[in-house]
Amino acid sequence: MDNKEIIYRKTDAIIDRIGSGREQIIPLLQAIQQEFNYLPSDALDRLYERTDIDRAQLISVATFYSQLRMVPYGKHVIKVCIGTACHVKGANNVYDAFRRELKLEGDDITTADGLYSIEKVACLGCCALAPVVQIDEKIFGHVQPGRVREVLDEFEAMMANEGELTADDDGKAVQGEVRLGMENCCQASGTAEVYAAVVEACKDLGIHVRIKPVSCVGTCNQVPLIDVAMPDGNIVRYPNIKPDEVKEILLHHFRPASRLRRLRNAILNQIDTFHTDQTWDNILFIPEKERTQSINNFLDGQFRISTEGYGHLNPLDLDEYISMGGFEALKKALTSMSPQQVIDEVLHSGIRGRGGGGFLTGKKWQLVRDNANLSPQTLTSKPSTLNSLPIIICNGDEGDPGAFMDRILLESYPLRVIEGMMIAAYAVGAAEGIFYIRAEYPQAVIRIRKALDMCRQKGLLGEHIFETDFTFDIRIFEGAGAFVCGEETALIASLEGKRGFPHRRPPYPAQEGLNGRPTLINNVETLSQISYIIRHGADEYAKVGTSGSRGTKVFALAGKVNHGGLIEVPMGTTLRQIVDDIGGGVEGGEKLKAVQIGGPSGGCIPAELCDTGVDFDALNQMGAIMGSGGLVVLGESSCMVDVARYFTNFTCAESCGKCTFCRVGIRRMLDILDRLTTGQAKMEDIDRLEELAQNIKQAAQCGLGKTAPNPVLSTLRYFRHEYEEHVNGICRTGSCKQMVKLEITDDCVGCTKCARSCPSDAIAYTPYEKHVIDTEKCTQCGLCVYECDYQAIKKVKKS
Amino acid sequence: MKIFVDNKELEISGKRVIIEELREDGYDIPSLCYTPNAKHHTSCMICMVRNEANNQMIPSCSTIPVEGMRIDTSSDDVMTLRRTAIELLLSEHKARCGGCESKAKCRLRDLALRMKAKWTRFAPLPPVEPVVREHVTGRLWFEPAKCIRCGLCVYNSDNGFTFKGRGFGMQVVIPEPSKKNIDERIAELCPTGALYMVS
Repeated sequence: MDNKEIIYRKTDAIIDRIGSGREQIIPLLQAIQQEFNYLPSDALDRLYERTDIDRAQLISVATFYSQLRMVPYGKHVIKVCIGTACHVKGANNVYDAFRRELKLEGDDITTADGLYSIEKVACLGCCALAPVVQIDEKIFGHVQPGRVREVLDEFEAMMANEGELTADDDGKAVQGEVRLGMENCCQASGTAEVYAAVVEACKDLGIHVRIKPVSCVGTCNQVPLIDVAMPDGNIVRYPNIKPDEVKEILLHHFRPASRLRRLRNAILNQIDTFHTDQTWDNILFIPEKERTQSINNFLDGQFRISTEGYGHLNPLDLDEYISMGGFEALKKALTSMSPQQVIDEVLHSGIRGRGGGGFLTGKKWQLVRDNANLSPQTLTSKPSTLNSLPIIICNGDEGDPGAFMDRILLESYPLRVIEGMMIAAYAVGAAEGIFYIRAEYPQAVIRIRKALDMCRQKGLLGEHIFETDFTFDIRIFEGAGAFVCGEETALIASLEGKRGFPHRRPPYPAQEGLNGRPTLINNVETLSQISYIIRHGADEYAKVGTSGSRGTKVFALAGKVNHGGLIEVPMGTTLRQIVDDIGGGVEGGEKLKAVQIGGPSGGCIPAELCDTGVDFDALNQMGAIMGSGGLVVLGESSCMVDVARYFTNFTCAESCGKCTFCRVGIRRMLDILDRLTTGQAKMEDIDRLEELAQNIKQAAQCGLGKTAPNPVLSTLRYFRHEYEEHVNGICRTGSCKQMVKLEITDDCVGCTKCARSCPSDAIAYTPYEKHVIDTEKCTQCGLCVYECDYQAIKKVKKS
Repeated sequence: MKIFVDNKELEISGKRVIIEELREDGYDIPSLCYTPNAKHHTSCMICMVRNEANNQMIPSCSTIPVEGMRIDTSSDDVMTLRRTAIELLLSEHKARCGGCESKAKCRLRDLALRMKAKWTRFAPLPPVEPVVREHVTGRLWFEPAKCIRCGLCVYNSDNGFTFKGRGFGMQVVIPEPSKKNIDERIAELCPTGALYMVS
C-alpha cells in the first residue's frame, strides 16, 4: 500500500468514528492532525470525497484556528508560553535562547533533523511558574535563557524513562497518608520525582502509607508540597521539598513495621546525619511555624467555595466527593425543588457570571427557560420543535493570557463543575450538555472525560438520575485555538463547524443559540459555585462578598509577586490585601506600581488605588473589569507602555477579522505602540492613540474589539507620563529594548565571565581589563547580567 | 412602528433592518458590505448610526429597530466615526486610484471623496507595485490588494470564494478547483475594484 492509500485508510477510519456532517469539521481535523502530526492534503481530499465538507469551508476553518496546521512539525513540539506573567518575566528571551540552542535561523521553526519544532503560545496556564515552556506534554517552569540546554536534556531523559505513576497497593495496614498535588504545574516543579521518592522510600524503609493525589492547594511557588496525614487527624505540611528529603520526613512520622528494619534505619540515619553536608539544612530541623508561615499567610485570607476540599480531596474519587457532600445539592434540587425554584434560588443568591461579563446568572437561566417555552414544573420541552430544545454549554475556553483558574477547577474539582452543570440543566430544561475546553488544556480534558465516565457508571448521568424523570448527559468539545471563541456567539459558531466570527446580539444565545436552540453558556467557575448555593441556600451564599458582587472569586495571582498561585477570596477583598497579605508582597522588594486585572480586556489599577475591594462595579468605574480572574502584579521595573503594547499585540493576533474597527483599528493602535516602544513616536501620537482607542470602543462589534482598547486607555489614564517619557526617548525601566543598551560600568574586574557567556560574541575577551559591549551585536538577552558577580552591567539610555 | 431619526418622528414597518427602512424614506445611509438582495454579515461599519438610548454605535444594516428608538444618523459624532472607518479601510487597501480600471464603479473611492477622508491618516500611500491579478472565470478578474474583506463574494458564492486566516492578515481566496462554481456577475457586488469584469 503506498503512502496515499495509508492516509486514505486512516482518514476513513476517522470519518467513520466521528461523522461526516459539516459541523464535525473541527473534531475531524483535530483527529487527522493527531494521527499525522499535521493536515496532509491527501487527508483533506478524502474529506471532500466522503463528507459534506467542501473546500471553502475547509480553508475557512483550517486557517482560522491556531491549533491546526497544514505543514508538518518536528517529532517534538516546544511551546514557549508568552502569556502575561511569562512575558513580564522575559519569555521572549527564553524563546530566542531556544532558537539559538537549536540553531534555528530566519523563519525556520523546525530543526534540520526534524526532531524539534518551536512555537510561541498564548498561555499555558501555569503562570505562577513563569517563564513556562511545554515540550509535548511535559511542562517546565522557571526557565531561564541560560538554562535551555538543561531543559532539553531533562526532556530527553524523561523520554527515556517513561513510567506509570502508581504506587503498589499490597493490602497491608496503612499507617497514614501522604498527600501531594499532581496538577500540571506541580509536575513542572518536580512533584513527579517526589512521588517516585515516596514510593521508593516506602519500599526501602518498610513503611506502609497511602499516597494520595489531591486537588490544588494553590501555593504554586512552594511546590512540591506534601501533607503528611496521621491517623489521629494531625496534618503536617512540608512545602518546597526535594526528593532526597522524603526519606527523612517519612521516617520522622512513621515507624517501619519490622524491628530489624528499624534498627537498620536508625544506624544508617546516624551515619547520614554526621557525614553529609545537609545536616544543618535538614528540613526537619526547621521549626514548623517557620516552615509553613508564608503558606499560612497565603491561605488565611481565603474562603473556599469553588476550591472547597483543596489539598485533601482526590480530584477523581467519586465516592470521596459524595461522602463530603458532593451531589447532595443535585439530589436536593431534583427531588425537592422544581426547576423554577432552582432558578429563583440562584437569582436570589446574586451570583454574577465569572467569565468576565458579570451578568446575573439567575437572570440568564430564566431567559433560557422562558425561550424554551417551559412551564415552571416541566422538565424538558416537548420535542415538537427541535429548535426549542435547550442545551447547556460550559465555557472552558479560558484564553486570557495570565489566567489559569478554570484549568485548575477543571483538573482539581471536575465533579463539582459537573454537578453545577447538572443543576443548571435541570433548571433550564436541558437534556444535553457540552464541555467546551480549549485545546491547550489536555490534562483538563482527560480529567473531565474520566469524571464523566465515573458519573455515568454510577448512574449520575444518563436517564432517571436519582430515580427522577431527569435525563442528562454531557459530551466534550475541544477548542481549536482561538481566543475569540470565548465569546458566546463565536463559541457557538465553532461548534457549528464554522470559523469563529461572532454575530450581532440580539438574538442572544439564550434565545437562539446553537443551531437556533435556546442555549445556556456558563463559565466553569460560575458552575462550580452552584452546588454551594443549592446546598447551603442563597442567603448563606449572599453573606459572602459585597452587595453588588456576592460570593467569592478565584484569582490567578502572578507576575512580580513573591507568592503567586491560585487563590479564592470573598468579593470585597482589596487588591492590596491580595498582593501583600496573601501574595507576600512584590518580588525583589520593589515598590508596587500597578495590578493588571482582567487580561486583554482589562486595565491597570495603580498602586494608590489598590485599596479598592474586588467588586464588579467598583472595578468598572476605575476603567478596568473583573475579567476572568487573571491578576498580574507589576513593580517599578515593569514598563506600562510595554504592557499596553503586549496586550494590544495579543488582541490584534486574536481578532477574528470581521469588522473594520477591530481588524484594522487594533492593528493601527499597535503601529503607534510599536513606535512608542522603539523611541520613534511623536507627542501627537499619544493623542492619536487615545482617540483611536475611544473610537474602537464605540464601534467594534463584539466583546473582544470593544474591550481591546482597555489596557491602552487605562495605562494612559494613570501612567500618561510614561508615554510622554517614551516620546522623549526614555524607557526608565529598560524594558523597551530598542531604547536602551547594555553597558559595563567601572565595577568591572575583567573576569571575562560575561564575554564567555555571550551568545552573540558581543563582548571582546579582555582578561583583567574592563570589558566593553558591542551594542551592534548585543541582543539584550541578559545572560551577561545573569553571569556577572559584580553587578557591573547596567541598562542605560541609548543616545 | 414609530421611531425618531435625527429628532424627527418616523413611521416604519418595523420588520426590516434600519438601513432599509431609512433608505426607503430618503435618508442617505451609505454602506459597503451591505447591498440589498445579497447575503451579508456586518463588516465595514460604514452604515453605523448612533442609538441615543445607550450612545452605542450600531450597524444599521443588521439591526432591527424597536418601538420608540431614537437614532442619530448625521451628527458630527457619527460623521467623524464614519470617516474614520473609511480611513481605516483605506489603510488596508493596498492600491492607488491612479491607473485603477475600476475607478468608476468603486464605492469606497466614491465614499472617501464624499466624506473627505484623509487617505494617509493611518498608513502611508501604498507603493506603486505591479498589479497582481488572478483570472477567475469568464470576464471576471480578482485583485486581492484592493479587497476590504467585506465578505460579499464569500457569502454569495457556494463553495467559491472563502476567507483564509484571521485578523489583520485575513484574505479572500478563490481556490483553483472552485473557480468553476463562480458566476462572473458577482463582480457587481464587490464595493471596490477587487473583483471586476473586463469589457
